[in-house]
Amino acid sequence: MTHHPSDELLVAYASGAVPDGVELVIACHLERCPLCRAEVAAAEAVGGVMLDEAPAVPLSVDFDALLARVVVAPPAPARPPPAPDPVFPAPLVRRLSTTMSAPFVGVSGLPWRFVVPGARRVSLPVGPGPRATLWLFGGGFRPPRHTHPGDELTLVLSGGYRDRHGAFGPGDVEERAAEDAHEQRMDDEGCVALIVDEGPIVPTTWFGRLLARFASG
Amino acid sequence: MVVRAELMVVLEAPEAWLVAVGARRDPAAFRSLFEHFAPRLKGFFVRGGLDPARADELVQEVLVRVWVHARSYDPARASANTWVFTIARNTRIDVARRDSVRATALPDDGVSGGPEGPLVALQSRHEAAALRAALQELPDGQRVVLERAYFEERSLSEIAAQEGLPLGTVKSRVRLAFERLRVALGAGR
Repeated sequence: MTHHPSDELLVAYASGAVPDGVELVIACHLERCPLCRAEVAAAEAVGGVMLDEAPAVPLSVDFDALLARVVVAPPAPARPPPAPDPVFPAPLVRRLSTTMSAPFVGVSGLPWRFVVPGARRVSLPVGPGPRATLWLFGGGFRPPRHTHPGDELTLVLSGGYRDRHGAFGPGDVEERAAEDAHEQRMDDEGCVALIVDEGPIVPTTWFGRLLARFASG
Repeated sequence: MVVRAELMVVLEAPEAWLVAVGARRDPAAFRSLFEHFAPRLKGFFVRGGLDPARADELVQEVLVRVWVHARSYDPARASANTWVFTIARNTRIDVARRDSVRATALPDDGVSGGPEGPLVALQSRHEAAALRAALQELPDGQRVVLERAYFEERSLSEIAAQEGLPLGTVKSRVRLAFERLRVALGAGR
């Protein structure tokens, strides 16, 4: 793995400042990246110290009232991690299992929607903030040149692609600013990616405008 | 023996209370956790801009989760402060997103990794002490940016707008602060 989320993004994740879709991308990357896990652990430790140093403000609720509330609460059942999937990291499997109508059986079982030859997509339900979409690209596919109204975050799940920022493979994350018009070429084996972005893409070619009509539906 | 004295310290620490709640649902240990963390959590939330009544509710919600999830606390992976911080962070996010789906970051997903071994709770306390010292020594500009990020859960672009600073400056302050903190963590190991 060669492309990691920026330090700023990891700190924002650890402090709880990222929207749902971004959180999902980072959580998936972390599962595959011990380096960034250590980084996030350090950022969380900073949070721990911040909490410890927070000014003490007395609570208006007493302990006995809280104890009465918790003793009836059963301990959380141990959640076994989902069965490993060759394409989707556990946070994504969990999300797919809880939000899709059909049981999760892997990449082939998702309700992929045809966009253009070589590109299929599935919208992923996420909370407020940028939308999240899973993409399945065929080998050699080149998305039409386009820009975005906001920042875009891509996580490669399997296969890969290449653009002017380098070669991206499973686990790699690419952050792109809104104004960065980019061209990609998918690897010969194709590519499955989770893309979080602010809204409909803005194509810069007629073919792209055609794609956009399908892709935003 | 020095090790023995340090172990005694560990047993009286929040880490030991969490372990006792997780293993035995020990009410006395839970009371110690309440007395230690409740006022800090409230202060943390109030500093983050919540009104006191709302902060009270959130603190209780956090402590309920601490009770319910204590079994998944592993002192080898994080100090009690850090673990409770992640619960508080997730609780605040969940409450804000209550009506929307969210299944990623429950506390037992434990994003924080760490070394394993019998004395790591001790080690994480040393790290916390080293971190605290390093945080206090940060230049004001760096510290303010970090405090806003953590207490108020601001994104760096929001902080930049609030402070009237270029985004690049805020980003580089975070980067510089983290370089120092990383050194401190290394020294605590």
